[in-house]
Amino acid sequence: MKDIIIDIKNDFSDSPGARYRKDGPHSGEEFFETLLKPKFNEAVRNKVKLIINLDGVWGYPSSFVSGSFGKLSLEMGKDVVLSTIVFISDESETRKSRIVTEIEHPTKRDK
Amino acid sequence: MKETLKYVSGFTIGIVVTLTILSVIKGYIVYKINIIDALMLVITTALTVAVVYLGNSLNKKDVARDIISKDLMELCEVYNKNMLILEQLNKGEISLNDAKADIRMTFHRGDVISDMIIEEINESFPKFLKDKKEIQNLATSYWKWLTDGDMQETGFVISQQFIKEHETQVRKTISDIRLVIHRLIKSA
Repeated sequence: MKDIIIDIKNDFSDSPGARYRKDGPHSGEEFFETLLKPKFNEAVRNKVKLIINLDGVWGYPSSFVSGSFGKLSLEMGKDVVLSTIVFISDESETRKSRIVTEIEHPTKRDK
Repeated sequence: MKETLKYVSGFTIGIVVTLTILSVIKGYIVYKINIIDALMLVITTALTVAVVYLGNSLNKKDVARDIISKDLMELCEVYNKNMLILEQLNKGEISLNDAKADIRMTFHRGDVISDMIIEEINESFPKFLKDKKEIQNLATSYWKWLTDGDMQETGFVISQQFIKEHETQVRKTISDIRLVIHRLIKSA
């Protein structure tokens, strides 16, 4: 099976929102539930990579990153997340680095 | 000072070369040359060349330092813009959603400029950064505070208290960026 790809701009939104669905559209929680977690599980099940293209998005709020990638790391463990997901960003290495750091040290927050 | 040094060293080389040529033409050079005098001539010429070369090298480093410092100052200006965005929100000139979008864009710009600064530093001062995260993380704390705090929650209403707290966060970030500039100026 081929690697699985998520293009955040085309598959989700170019304006990611807050952490929770209750805080507005395109939240980290929405992304996590509708795309990230299902695709991640599929990748792990089929032993392929989950390639996530970060480009075309005009800035990622920390709330979105924490509510999606951070949550995935808390649920699945940072090692399996980092070994399964491959981030692509031609626009910014710094943005990629921030997301990886969130996975390595996820922020715990009560709803 | 460096320019003066260049001119002086160039003048010295000129005198040495001229005297040598005149000596040869007028037949002042004899076959039994004093070894000390010959060595002094060689050493003086070598030092002159070294001074000119060193002067040129230091000049290029200064130019690179100047460019990077200006880019770091631009980074400060980018984050400073968030204060203007929040003032506009406070006055009702823009909506909360527009403010959030503008702030996201600010951090996007900051990330792109940070990447550029890292490339520049690695090109001209490869030993300056222990880790590129030194630059990447300059605004991380500020980014988390502003884009994962009160402003992202339902029912957020901007207040003077929030604006003051934000100003503290921005100034701390700008201070950290400026410290990098000072370190760069002091570096070899």
